[in-house]
Amino acid sequence: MLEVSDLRKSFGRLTVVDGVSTTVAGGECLGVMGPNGAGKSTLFDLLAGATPVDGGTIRLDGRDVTGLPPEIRVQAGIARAFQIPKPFPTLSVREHLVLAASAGQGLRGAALAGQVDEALERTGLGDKAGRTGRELRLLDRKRLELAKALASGPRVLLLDEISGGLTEHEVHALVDLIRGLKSPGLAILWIEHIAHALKAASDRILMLHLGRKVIEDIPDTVTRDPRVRELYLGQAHHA
Amino acid sequence: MRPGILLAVAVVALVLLPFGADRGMLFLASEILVVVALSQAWNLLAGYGGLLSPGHHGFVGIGGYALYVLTRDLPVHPYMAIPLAGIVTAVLGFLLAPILFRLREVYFAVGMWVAAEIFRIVVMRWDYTGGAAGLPLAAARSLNREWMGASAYWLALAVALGATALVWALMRSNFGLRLRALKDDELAARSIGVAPHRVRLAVFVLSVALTGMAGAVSFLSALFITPVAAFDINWMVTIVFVTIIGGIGRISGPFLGAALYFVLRETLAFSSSWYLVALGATAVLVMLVMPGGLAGALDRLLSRKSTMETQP
Repeated sequence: MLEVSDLRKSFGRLTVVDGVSTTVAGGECLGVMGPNGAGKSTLFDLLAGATPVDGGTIRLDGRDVTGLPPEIRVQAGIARAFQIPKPFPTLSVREHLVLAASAGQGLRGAALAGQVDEALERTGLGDKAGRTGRELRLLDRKRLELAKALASGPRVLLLDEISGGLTEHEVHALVDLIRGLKSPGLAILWIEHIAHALKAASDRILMLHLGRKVIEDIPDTVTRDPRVRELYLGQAHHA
Repeated sequence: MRPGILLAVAVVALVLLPFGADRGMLFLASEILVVVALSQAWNLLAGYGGLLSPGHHGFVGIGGYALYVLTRDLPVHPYMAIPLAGIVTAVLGFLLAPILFRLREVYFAVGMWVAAEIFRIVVMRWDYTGGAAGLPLAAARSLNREWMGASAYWLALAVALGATALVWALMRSNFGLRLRALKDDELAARSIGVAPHRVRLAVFVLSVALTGMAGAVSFLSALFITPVAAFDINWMVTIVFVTIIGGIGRISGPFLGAALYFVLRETLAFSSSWYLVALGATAVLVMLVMPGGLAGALDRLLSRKSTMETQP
């Protein structure tokens, strides 16, 4: 589904993403870990087209999408839930999703309504469909990020720390939700600091440090790796 | 239901106005409606689309000249030439957009103004458009003199109400959602698949087409057009004043702004210098105390009243 090879990005002298390659197949969830500044969010910026790459290629179903602007990538099927939610203050929750389904996937009529309702139901925003972006609390803003990405009909779903600020119980619900999303037509990439959540939902985990790939393997192998323990689990993060 | 009935009564009253108004009143009413239409068109681009254009007077002039040239060279009735004038300005806008849209923010504004200047200079130097002396309405013979004032009024009414209905319908459509999303946060809008250039191009072409039609209607009853009148910067001053005073990005804004503008103009007509002072002072005052313009103030008043009514 998604093939990334030798992706590079520098800001001035600082290399933020340094030759990252990976492949995510349909039905798979790739967890992305790494300490702050490892280049995780920049990697997503490159995949989503928010920032141009300095080198390397991104292929979606074999098609090279490396040079496409973000709106075309969404239409091609790469959707993203931002770490810092970006709701439109004057649009209602439902309008956000109608927009995502129509602009992102070109849906109309009953197919559009169905997609919107499904995204509302999956993310538990059904009773807040009439609220505007401005009125939402942080948790609902995070849910809306995920709902927007789902409503655009993704083939590749980029989730950037969507569990931040959630209670333990809510994190479990989120893990169940992400597991429920897995299907042969969807590849998921999930950046998360909460290791046990990532472990529970991911088929493989990619560990980044200073823009480079440290290890990419099944969750048990990654969390047992001494380099990972030193870099990440040893630090004052939720282990 | 009640606002709907009120609206229908108002529209019927406006349609029947020529049967109860004298020539002078009808002329003034047509003028007001042209300003409403122009402001609605500008509001669509600036208020909803977020593109501030100080060059719309160029498209007023192009619309007016399109009417005069089309009815001179082609066998079209002047009334039919009005939608055609809209098409001419739309095509011109469509061709200019790739250049103008390379410019952002304040540079777009400068680009629009330069475009309007170029239109004026070309029309003034070109024999085909009559040069600096202007053109008479060659098809004036085919107009019924007795119904001339009323017809011009009805055309102005059609363009004003048509522009308003179009903005109303657009803002309730998927296209309106895209426009609002882009105005709120461009990156977030692009991240769910909204293509900014296509949306802005559509809104720009619609805005200049409406402007061209309103321009054509405005110059129809004059029976003569000159570059000085057609490309007058005062069009722009009036449009911006009316839209901002009325409430930018609000559909009732152009109506409220036009009402205040014409009240000021008619009461202060004795002195052109005091009239400009009053216009400027009103603009500053409204911007300071009512950021949403008259429409915003009216909204707040109505919502306060309705919350008072619902309280026991």
